[in-house]
Amino acid sequence: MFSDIVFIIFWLIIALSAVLAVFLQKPIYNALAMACSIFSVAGMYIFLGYEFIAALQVLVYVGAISVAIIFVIMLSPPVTVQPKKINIYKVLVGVATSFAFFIVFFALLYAKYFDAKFTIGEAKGTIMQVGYMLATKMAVPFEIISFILLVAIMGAIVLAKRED
Amino acid sequence: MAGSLFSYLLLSLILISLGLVGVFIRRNLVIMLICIELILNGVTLNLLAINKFVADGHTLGQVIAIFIIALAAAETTIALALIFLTFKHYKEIDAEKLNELKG
Repeated sequence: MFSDIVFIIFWLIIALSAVLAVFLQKPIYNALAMACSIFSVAGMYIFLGYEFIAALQVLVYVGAISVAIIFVIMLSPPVTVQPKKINIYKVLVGVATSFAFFIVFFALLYAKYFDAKFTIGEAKGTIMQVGYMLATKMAVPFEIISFILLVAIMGAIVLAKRED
Repeated sequence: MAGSLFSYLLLSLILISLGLVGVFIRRNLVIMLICIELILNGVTLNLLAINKFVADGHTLGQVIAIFIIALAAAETTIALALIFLTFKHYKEIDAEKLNELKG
């Protein structure tokens, strides 16, 4: 019962701060709302029983990606917020497309997964098994991912340092 | 409630739909990147919730979630570098106004 209350609180925090992250007007507020939403998603992973992924989520998303986004917002020159004319046609098309997406997949989920249950907090895949799989069966993808990260770091430095 | 798969999948669907709305209607490049992060989070949450039911030992989904997080970090790094360059070069980040190539 208590876990249900905590779950609902986390659920509402994620949904509300995702709404704020999309619809607020100043980018720094959007970034902070995104950090809040992502941090609470880590709480969802705890509920699912994946503590390692939750820790990784907090470290990488909240600790690195959000901070990098906030850095870029702070380093950039102030953009004058002009009173912009909103193209109502494009906004309507975007909202309608996303709403249609939501309705279709909501119907699918409601039809197929409404009754599925699991016991919360049980973790069958421990961190040791995850590390074992990363070192044996998934060794090649793991190396490729690390190479991609290396290339991304070097590419970011080369792009951002370029004098033009 | 906390043990029902439907609530997790509904939450991930909400995250993905909100990210889609943001990518469609917001024209600020940083905010569009933030919305892409929301989409990636929804996808990872969906994958891990489904992983409770299908995978043997729950290990494969966690490994793929680690890969998604690493790829999101790489993608954000490159995108932020490009956005920073755009800031320096054009002095604005409105996606509607960045409509010429080879600048």
